Amino acid sequence: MRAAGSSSEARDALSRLCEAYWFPLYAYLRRRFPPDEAEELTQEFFAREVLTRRIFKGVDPLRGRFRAWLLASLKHLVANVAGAKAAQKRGGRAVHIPIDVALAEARYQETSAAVLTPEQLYERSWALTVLARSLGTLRQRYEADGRGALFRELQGALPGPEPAKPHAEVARALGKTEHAVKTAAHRLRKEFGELLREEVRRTVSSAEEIDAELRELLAAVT
Amino acid sequence: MSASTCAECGAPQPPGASGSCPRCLLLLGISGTVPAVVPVADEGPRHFGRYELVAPLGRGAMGVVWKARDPSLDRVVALKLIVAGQFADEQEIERFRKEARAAAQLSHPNAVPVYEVGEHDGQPYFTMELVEGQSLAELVRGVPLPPARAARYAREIADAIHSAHALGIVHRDLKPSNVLVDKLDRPRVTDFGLARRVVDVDTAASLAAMVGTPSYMSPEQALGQKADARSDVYGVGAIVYELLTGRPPFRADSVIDTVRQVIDVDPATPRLLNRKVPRDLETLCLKCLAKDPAQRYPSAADLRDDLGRFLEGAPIRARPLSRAARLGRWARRNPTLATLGAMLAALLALMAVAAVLARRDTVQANAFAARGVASSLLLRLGEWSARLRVAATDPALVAALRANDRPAMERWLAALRENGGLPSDTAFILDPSAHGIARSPIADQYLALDYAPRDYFRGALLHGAADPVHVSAAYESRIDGKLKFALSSAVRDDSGGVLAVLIVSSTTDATLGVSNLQADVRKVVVLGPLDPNYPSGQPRSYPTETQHVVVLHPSYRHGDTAMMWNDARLDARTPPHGGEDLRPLAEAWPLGNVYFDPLGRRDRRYAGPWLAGIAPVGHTGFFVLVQSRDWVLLSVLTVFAAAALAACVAIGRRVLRASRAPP
Repeated sequence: MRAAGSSSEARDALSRLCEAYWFPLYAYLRRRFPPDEAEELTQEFFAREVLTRRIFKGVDPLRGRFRAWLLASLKHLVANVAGAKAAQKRGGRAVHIPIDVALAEARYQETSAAVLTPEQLYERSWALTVLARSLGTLRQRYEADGRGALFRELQGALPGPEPAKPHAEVARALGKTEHAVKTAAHRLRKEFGELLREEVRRTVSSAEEIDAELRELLAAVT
Repeated sequence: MSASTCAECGAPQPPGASGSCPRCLLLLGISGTVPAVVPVADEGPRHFGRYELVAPLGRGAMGVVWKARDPSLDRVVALKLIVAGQFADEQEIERFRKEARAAAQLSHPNAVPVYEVGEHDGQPYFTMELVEGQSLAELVRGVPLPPARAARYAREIADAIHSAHALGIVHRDLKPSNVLVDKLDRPRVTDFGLARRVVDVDTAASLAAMVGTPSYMSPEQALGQKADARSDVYGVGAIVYELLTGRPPFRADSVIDTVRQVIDVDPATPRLLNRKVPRDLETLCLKCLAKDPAQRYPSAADLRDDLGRFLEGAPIRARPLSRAARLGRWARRNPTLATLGAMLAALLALMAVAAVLARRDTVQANAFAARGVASSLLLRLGEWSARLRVAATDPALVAALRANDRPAMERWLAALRENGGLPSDTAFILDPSAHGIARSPIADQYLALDYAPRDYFRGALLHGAADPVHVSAAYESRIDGKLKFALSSAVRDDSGGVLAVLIVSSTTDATLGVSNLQADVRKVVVLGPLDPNYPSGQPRSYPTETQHVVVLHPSYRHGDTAMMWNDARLDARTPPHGGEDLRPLAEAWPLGNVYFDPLGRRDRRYAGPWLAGIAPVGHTGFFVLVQSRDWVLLSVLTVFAAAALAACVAIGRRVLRASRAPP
């Protein structure tokens, strides 16, 4: 991961990364437990491990894949609180990460149509989260400098089921030449690829591993 | 949406997926799969609606601000693009528009006016006056402002906020970066009612994006409750705090930790971070930052007026929290701890009362015991006196004295020591002029000395024939240097004339041959008046002064060096000495609050505090002291000593670390 060493800055970055990838953890737990318990355990994981920085003690997350390490940490917690009602033990007003249970459940239902093991579901949710984050960053980047309309028109340029809107039509809508739109569409795809690599780079220990990680994620969604 | 397939790879797409094929998207990231870039022609100046974008000014959680030119009016404005998708739904957008229209009506010298609110290509935006200058955040940058300047800014900000509230606009996101300082050094509040309306649904995965910077957020907002005018009072307080101290009231490593602090922790008092902050300004600032909105200023106008009073040097209305109120507040937030603490305090108080009572009880018991021991010691002295009285009238002794037969006297003395039933390490005879005649054990240097000043000699002469035995003060032997005390009696002829003085003496000891004197818990000590060593022949007053010495002690072995008993508390109570020594004196009293055994200096078992009671042994001038351990004081002292030691260690370590640290 980019923030090398075990400085507190690096740990902050890792904490934020943990927070960003809460959904795959929820999905994994959800495959194993009913919704309320899955939510409790997710909260427990963040309250007890991530917020307290306890998660960083012992194993060094900077070695190997962040994805695998995070799941291992979660499994460790689940083994520790096995059976015990985590919610009952945690008294007082604990700080929660704002999980919108309805939203989480909707995402879960959306993601878990196929028959998958909890681990497969975790991998799959992870891949989708990586994509969603990259896409979100791309959209923000476009909107931030007033190219929001262009982004919305060109989102079809990214691979998907919707037949891409003919470039001529986009050009008409935006008052640009067809060539300019074509170039913009191409650039959009390229920028997405770069952002995706950037996102993955945060979760692996060296730049050389990005491609390998991407291939694993590819396997997870296929 | 029904199941469909990806237009590029033909893979089936799950229903409800966001419109892109995850497989192909991932492929876009893998090296070598992205086609080379096609160069793009320069697009010229960028436009947004009728505005010409000149330069980006900054990026916030909500969107990006551009310096833009409005060609229709030929004026330069600040154009804020609000990142779409941040509105939860159509209703939210409508509410945003409504508030923006209200904000556009706000006209205040300390507010940045909103010119236009609109939407272009589905992209909401608004324009404001372009204020050239720094924000308060840029102005402070970790360095506190002079308090008076901070207070002036705050008063103007509060005034602007008050006019906004009058129009029903709540700012919701007051922070130093939302206040610009213009060229006239006026603070100008921006983003009225336009901030914090937004909820980022798509990026719910990113907690940080959802919450923004919570350092200045009011606790009720952090808890997801509705913000009102008092939330803005909090916001002004947070700004004052940063202006005064150079840092926000709360700042932690992560967003969640910061939120936790906002909800649960009281901020460090400003004066702790900057000694120059006036007390009144601190009170005022902390009143704004109260967790409970009801504890803050009820309106921005009240805050403004109090700031005004401060600036004019008049007394402010806000009152600092008393210690009790702070404790109460803490207790409300931590009820379990507070209950435990109160119970512990009550328990400690009970224990303290019990301990005080127990100590008083112990001292009384010791005094009572001392009286008992004193009377049995007096009885024992009576027995010994009777024996000495009989011995002093022995015809064999009188005959030997008359014949001046020293060997006979020495034999007689040895027999007395052996069979007389008296505690006598030594026995000796003085002639009426106080010179030694005979001694057992034999010691020749004894014969040369003059014993006239000794209490055992003078005291014996004071007693009449009816009560001849004198219990003498303790003295230091000139023969062997040991501390001794003696019983003495005059030996008289038939007409009552003094032939000699007979003395038996004993040295320091643990029990003096009295069995069962020492118990496990209670220790018996006997103190005696000291007969000082005077140069012979020198006249002195009689009875002797009241210096005391420890004669009997459980720590003594027979003949041990005696310890002085330097405690003035006994002096005033020494009964008259000389004549009628053995008349009982049924008295006893506790020896004050604390007693340190002088033997503690040489025997660790007796070190530390004791509780003691004391009783005089008749009129002999001796005292019996009964002591038992003062466990209460001992434990208190131990705890203090441990704490002091720990503090020393901690300080020592810090000093060491400081000396090792690189310069």
